Amino acid sequence: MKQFKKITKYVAVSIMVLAVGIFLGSQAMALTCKVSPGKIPISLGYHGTKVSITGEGLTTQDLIVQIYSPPGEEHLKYKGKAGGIFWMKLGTMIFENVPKVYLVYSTKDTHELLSPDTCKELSIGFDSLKKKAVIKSNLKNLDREKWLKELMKFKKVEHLYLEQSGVIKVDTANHSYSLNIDWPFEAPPGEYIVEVYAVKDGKVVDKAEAKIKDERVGIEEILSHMAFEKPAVYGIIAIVVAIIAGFGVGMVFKGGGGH
Amino acid sequence: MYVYLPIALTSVSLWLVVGLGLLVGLLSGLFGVGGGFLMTPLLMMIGIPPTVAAATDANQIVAASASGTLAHWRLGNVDFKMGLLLLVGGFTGGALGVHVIKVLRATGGADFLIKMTYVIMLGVVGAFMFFESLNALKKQKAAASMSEAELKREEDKKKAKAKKKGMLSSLPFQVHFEKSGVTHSAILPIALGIFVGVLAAIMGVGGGFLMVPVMIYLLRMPMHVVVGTSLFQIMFTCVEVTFLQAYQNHTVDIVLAILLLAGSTIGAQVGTTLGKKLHGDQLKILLAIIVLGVTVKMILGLVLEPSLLLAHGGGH
Repeated sequence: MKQFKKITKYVAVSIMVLAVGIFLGSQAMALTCKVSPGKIPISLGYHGTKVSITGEGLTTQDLIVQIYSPPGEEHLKYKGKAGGIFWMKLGTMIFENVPKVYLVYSTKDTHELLSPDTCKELSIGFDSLKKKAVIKSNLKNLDREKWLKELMKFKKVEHLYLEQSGVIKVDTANHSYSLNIDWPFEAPPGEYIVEVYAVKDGKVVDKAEAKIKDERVGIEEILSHMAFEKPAVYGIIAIVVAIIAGFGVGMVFKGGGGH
Repeated sequence: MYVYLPIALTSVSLWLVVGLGLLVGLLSGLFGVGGGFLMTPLLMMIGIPPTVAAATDANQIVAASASGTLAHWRLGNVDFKMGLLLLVGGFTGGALGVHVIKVLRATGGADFLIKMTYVIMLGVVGAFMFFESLNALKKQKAAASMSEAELKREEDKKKAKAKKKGMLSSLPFQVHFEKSGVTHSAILPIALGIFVGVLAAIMGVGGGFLMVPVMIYLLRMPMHVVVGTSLFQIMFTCVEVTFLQAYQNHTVDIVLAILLLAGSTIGAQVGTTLGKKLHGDQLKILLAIIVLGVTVKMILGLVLEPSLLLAHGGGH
């Protein structure tokens, strides 16, 4: 009986050790994502920043990292020929269900890594973004494909949309990855979602998520708050500052500009 | 060195913006124009949203015109009496113009009208000033080689021409403007102020480039007094615009305005000093060249296919 108890004790300890091992092992295998800095302070001298996205638990050689703001509306003016001669803004075009910022990085071209259906299902890449976008405009015979292409072009010029492949460093030996990006100063303040997809044989095998917060601090926050919450005071301050500066410089130049 | 703009939501080079301010301030001090027709497109080119560019420009013009007005006032170049009458007209015209735009927007086709008015007014004003100043410069050269008798004959001709004003001089409320050395009915500057105010509101600009020729050719004011008086008038117009834009549209970027005015206030002083050294007709011909240059750029922008078919709203 004593012998049986001893064996049972050994078995129980062994099972526990095994369980802990499996648990720790599975923890080590899960894909992680760490963004540094997670909070980007927009101060007076801000001109964009370097953002590093790193992670462990990578079991594949291919990755897709996408960063985006929650989808919303984009109100823009469309240009066309007035009277068949002059190019000018002819009306408003509203793009619905599109993010303000959309940055996609991958080890290879996303088309090589995933099928169009998978991309659409997981909302990865520009084509899936185009498929989900809705356009509202008074423009007759609206060519959806043409205007979505124009939106991509417009956003890319503004550095708010980007698709780049071959920029993620994958360390297969250590099952880790790293991506260093130039965060665009054009990105408006707000919260952004970072999604990392581990891809193998045309399928997503693992996923990790993180967030980036881009927020005004110090004088930037004070001025922005005042402009929207106390516009009359803000307007008066803007005028007083201008008048004082104008007359002030006028006084300084008294010797040079006067009789 | 970069500065982040809290309302424009973009980052700009400090020296580039101060430099732009300096350049436009220089033109302001030289010609008495606010420079909105130049500054707004320049700001848009460096990535400032059109609505913020136009509103903030008005804010910085307050500083440049205050600086310029002070410099011209010291030189005795501000006709306050004329300036106030033009201002009364300008404010009335501005309010009327805003209403016209509202009606046009409701019926459609406002943008086309704005753009066309802009190009036509710039083109006509620029071409007229250019040829008129060129003729004046030619006449000066000819006068330099004229005999005394010929000069007297020319003077008599001018006097006879002045007497022909007839209809305008028969208008009531005749006022003598000592500073400008002219006599007009008070109705005339108010009416002209209304005319410029309406056009300026339609085009979304301060109207300096329209007011200056109006003062020179229709009110017959001397060029140097025109510059000082125009700046005085522009200062008040832009105070009104700045407040309305900040209050209603939240589009005034005070950080951008401070950078611009740091350059423009100094530029306005340098421009005033430089202006003293140039002849009135030389100033006019320079302004005409700038106005014509902007017109050509606008026409090209209208005719050539843009690289982007989408844009932010607002602006010219």
